Amino acid sequence: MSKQANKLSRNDVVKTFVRWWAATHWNTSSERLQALGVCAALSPALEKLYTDKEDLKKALIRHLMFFNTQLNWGGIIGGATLALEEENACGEGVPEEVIVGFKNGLMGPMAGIGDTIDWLTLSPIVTSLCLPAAQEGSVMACMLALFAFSIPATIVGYYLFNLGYKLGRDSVTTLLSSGIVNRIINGLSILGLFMMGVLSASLVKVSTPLAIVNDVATTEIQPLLDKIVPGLLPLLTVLGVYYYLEKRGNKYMTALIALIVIGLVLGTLGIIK
Amino acid sequence: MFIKALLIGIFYWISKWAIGYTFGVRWSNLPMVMAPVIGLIMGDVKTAVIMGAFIQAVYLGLVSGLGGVVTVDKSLATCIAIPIAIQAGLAPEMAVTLAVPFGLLGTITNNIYKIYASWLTHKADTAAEEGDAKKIRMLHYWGAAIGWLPLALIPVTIIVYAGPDLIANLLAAIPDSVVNGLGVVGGLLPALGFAMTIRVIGRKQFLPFFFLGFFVIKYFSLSTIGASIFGIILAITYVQLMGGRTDVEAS
Repeated sequence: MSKQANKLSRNDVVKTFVRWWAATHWNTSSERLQALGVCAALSPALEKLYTDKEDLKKALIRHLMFFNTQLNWGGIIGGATLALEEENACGEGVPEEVIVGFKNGLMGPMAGIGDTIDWLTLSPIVTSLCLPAAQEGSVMACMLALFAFSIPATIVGYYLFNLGYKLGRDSVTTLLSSGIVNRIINGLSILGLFMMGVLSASLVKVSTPLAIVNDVATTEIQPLLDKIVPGLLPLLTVLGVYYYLEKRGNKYMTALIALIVIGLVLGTLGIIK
Repeated sequence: MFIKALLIGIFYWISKWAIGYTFGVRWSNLPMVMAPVIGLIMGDVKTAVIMGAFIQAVYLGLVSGLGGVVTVDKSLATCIAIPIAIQAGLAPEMAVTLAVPFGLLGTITNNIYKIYASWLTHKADTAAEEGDAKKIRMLHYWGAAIGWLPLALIPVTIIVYAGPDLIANLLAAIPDSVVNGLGVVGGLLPALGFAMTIRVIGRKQFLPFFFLGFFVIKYFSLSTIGASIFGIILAITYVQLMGGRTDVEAS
């Protein structure tokens, strides 16, 4: 890479990361999703790289195209894009299609990895570990739920953004081929499912006040159920909802309304409590 | 009371702004993290935290905003349900029942915002053609702050201000058995949160671990923290033995 006047300093890279991290998701539009955010995050660096107004215009326009990824793991795309733009500006002449194609090609995979690890697995696990203490009114648990996720996740994001900048185009291939991603996902999935069992057992509250009355005695149903399988009703509730979502696709709304109606009707009639 | 309502409105406005991907997006989607702040404003932190935890359980597996699709506005649900429930003296289960409809209503404001964001993006196109990078940044940073004023700050302030009386009157008017039914709903709804999480984790071959977790609690009455230690040990052991493989058959 030829070293010319307007190379980015270490400071520029860090500042771009901060902008990327702080605000890229702000104006997620229905049309081009994170496009505006990406352009705003990269724009100060682009201004520094492209002293020629025409080049700057082209650069701004190409980063206003559709973009959507998980920004934390996708930070590696942000960093690499910065490196590509620098290469382009400093005389290497990276074709515009390469820069745009690079972003478009990798935003999907990085969204998949990032969402799976951060938002779908790590996030609910940290939350569920803190939840029981919060139910007893612990403010500490609430704060822990934030920081125990956010601090490590931010460090990963910062690392990946810098890795992206350092390795340029090769960076994502390096990450994808290392196999560590699958190990993380496997471990977190097991812990996550285990915790869902733990929480279902302690937080889903449903039992029946019904009793069979005959001439001789009154037999309450709930103690009988507890003898067969403890927590049968909460377990069936969770499995029922799971089965429904599995069969019908993620019809969250329908499941929600159905639960409300069932709970309201059976609860009002005194069949469950 | 108006000042409190206004502060809640401002808090919701800041939450929609969501500064910092791993911080802002995290806490603005977590009722239990928002709850202490709301409690501080309303003057009852402990009750707010307990309510926040109940609302949290319902939304646990519901990841909103993936691919830009907001399914439920958890932040709106929290910012309205907790203040109103505290003012009207409702039980935590009732706060959950109150939170749900507002969470759904939030999808409307969020979708309106996305259309507004498209308009901002078009303005940015024009700025880009003029090579005006500064204007693009202005549109992006200030556009978000201004856009959420009428969609977040104003409606929430009004609802929190007027809500408690309405809810108290409404609850007084409906029969006790139905109020009980509403409480039952609050106890059932976390099941949706957990079922959703099982779905999003999406590794069916690991489902036995769900049952293990469930019955460890039911038979041995461990604390949740205690149980989670076993969960962590299990997860590490599995990864050490099996690595990143996902198909159990291949072992």
